[in-house]
Amino acid sequence: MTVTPLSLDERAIETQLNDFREAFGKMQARLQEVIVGQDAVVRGVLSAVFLQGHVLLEGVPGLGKTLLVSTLGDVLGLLASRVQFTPDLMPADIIGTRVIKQEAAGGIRFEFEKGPVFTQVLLADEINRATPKTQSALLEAMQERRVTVAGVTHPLPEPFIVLATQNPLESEGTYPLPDAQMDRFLFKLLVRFPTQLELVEIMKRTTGVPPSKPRPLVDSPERILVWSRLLRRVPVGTPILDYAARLLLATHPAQKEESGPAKHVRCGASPRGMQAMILAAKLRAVLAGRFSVARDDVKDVAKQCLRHRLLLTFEAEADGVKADEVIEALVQRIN
Amino acid sequence: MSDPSKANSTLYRFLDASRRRMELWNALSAAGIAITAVAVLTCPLVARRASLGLRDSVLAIGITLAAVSVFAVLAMRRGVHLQQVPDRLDTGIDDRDRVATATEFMGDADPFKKLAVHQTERWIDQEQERLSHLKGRRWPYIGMASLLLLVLIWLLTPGLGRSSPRTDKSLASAVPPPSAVTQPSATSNGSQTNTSQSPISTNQRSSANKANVGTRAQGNSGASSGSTNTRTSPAGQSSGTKPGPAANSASGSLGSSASGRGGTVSSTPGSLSSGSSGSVQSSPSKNNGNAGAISASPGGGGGTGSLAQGTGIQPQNPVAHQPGSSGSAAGSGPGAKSRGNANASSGVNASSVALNAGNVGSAPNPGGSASSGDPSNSALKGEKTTPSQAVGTLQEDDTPAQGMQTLVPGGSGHGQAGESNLRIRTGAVPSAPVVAVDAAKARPSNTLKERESTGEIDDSATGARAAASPDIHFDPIEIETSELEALPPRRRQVVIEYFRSMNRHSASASTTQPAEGVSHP
Repeated sequence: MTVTPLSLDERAIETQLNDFREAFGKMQARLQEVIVGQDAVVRGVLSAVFLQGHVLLEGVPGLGKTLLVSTLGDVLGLLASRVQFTPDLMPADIIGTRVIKQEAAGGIRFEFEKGPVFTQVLLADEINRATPKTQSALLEAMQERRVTVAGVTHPLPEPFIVLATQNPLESEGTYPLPDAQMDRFLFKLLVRFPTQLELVEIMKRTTGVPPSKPRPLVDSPERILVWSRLLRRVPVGTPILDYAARLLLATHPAQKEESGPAKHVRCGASPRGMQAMILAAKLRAVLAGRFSVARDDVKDVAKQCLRHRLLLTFEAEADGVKADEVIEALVQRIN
Repeated sequence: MSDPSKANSTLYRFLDASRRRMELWNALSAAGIAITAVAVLTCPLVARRASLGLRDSVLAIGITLAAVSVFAVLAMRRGVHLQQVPDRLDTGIDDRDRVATATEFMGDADPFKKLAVHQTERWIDQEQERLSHLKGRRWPYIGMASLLLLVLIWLLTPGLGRSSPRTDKSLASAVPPPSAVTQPSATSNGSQTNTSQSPISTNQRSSANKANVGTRAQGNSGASSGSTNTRTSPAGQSSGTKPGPAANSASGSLGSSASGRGGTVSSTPGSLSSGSSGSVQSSPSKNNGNAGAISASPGGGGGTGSLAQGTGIQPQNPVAHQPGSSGSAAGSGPGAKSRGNANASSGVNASSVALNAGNVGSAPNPGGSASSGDPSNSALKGEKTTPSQAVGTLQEDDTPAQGMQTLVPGGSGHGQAGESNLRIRTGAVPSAPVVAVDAAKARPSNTLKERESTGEIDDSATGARAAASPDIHFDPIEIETSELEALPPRRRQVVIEYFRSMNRHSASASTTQPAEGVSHP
């Protein structure tokens, strides 16, 4: 598979972007053939793949998260693996460990046995059930895209994305993700419960003959990387960057007003949230057929990029205030 | 704009056109700001320029220079850069972002940015109609309002070199123009009416009665402006029953300010009449006029011919007997009860009308009926009348003057005697043409030419009048302080200005010599 290098020619870029839009549409359609409903989740996960970001999926069990990950790997032609996080899960269970190998000559040696993290699409199921130590083991892998075992660094394959899930209802026996780790996720997508029609459709699809495994729509993982680099070249004007910065600053309690929405925020979003918004806005602009980011793009992706980066106050949580409500109010407030 | 080739791009043309409009608008707003600032700041100066001693011309130039300077500074500092154009577009925020982004990318070599610029240009082409070029189009109404305020203040406040407009108006109408004042003189037999010019004013103040110096043209100051309606009364040449037909059309309003009642304003410079003997009797007394002299009281008096020729009149006011005040114009008609019915304020108008009516000989005397009172006569009503209408304005002439022809110049004078607050003692009588009127030929004539053709008016006298018309002489005016103080401040100011103006006229005319053909006392 030969990857055509990106040309600086405008027409070439335009052609590549058109190809990407077309491919993205096909991939989304293919995923939605398997996953009933959850359009936003499917679109978000697919976007995260091309943006080289990680996704935190929050939803109750049984909503098709694992199916989504496996299907995504099939559609993209990527390696996919799943790790069920439990309280006794150790870091080595994720990243791998050194084991003794018997050589044919009779000697023994230590050999690194790769863990499930060495994949391209990792499903970290119920990640909040693992201990913080195990969670932090995933931290380096998510951020650095490499793991270090016994002083030896092992790069992860590209693309590498982590799709972590957590149950919003069960809090007993869980270890909430630390803020630093939460910040590593590009998006936090809420997997809503299906509607009645969707449930009926789910029953139809899953109680009959299992569907055949979908064929990959991407010829190679490098294609995904090429598109990913192409998306990062989408220019963003200074007014848009200013807006994103103002929106991010508005989430901080230092900027709050007496009656402002930020009064519910204990800790605002980090600069990674701003980066996430811009990256996601670029992808949205390309999908919309534009070559530069507009303000609406930032507004549209603000929730999925910021909701897991806001730490609400106790009063807000007691009052049932959601992070999405705060972000929505900020988006309406900031011009 | 690092790429000059972009100068011809659609985006650049759009931005440049928008920038030009914005700069033009900025210039306009700068002008508005400059006018507003200067107007607001200079309003106190304008309002008090008289007291501050600022001349109008200097102040006007200063204000203009200040406004231009502020405008220039603002206009230079408010230039629009190309990058500032998107922020001022009158579009939605998303459209502004789009243009701003494209503007930022314009000239960049990055193909992605070029694509973005091209896309924006296509969008501009499509949305050309919708896009506006200015963010706001609020005209600087405040600038116009400020300028209007400044102009109003300028107009309504007196300046150093001039008085307020209302005062000017009063002056303009109250001061008799040189050619307008006629001092008629009538023969007792009525055969001839001599309207002699009397440029001189004989109203020297009498020590005996300072209050009554000269002719007291009661009522209307305006009358003084004196239209010189020299007219003969065919019937009344000797009858004297037609007191002052003439004239006075306008009983008028004296200056607004002096609305006056009670006062005897006589702006009339001259109580004096020309003529042989005539002393002017402007006093309201009824007796005037036995003698047939005419009184042309430029001073407004509604003068009926209170004047007797020669000694015909017994003026009640001793001061009125000024030597040389022949021919006399009585300020008020003999016994005309109606005189002075105009308040002082109407006097101004009266005078102005009198000016209009004041062509010598232009006003016919309709059968000499001018006499006692046609109540309907507009002159008594303070209405403006045409010269032809200004006849016979007096009413109730209790004591009709006999054998005289009234030539009542100037405004009717009706201002109810004694009703004006103002009292002027003027001794000067404006020069008036000598008009010789043959009684036999006396008839109403409408025009001067007609009257000349009929011999009604002596050509030489006309010429003399013309020659002498510029020679006006006013004596200084005195004002009674007590009466002046009784006036409201605004009126007082107007009266003071008026008298000052009169005095200036007197001073300027004091050196003039009487023209030929003008009779002197």
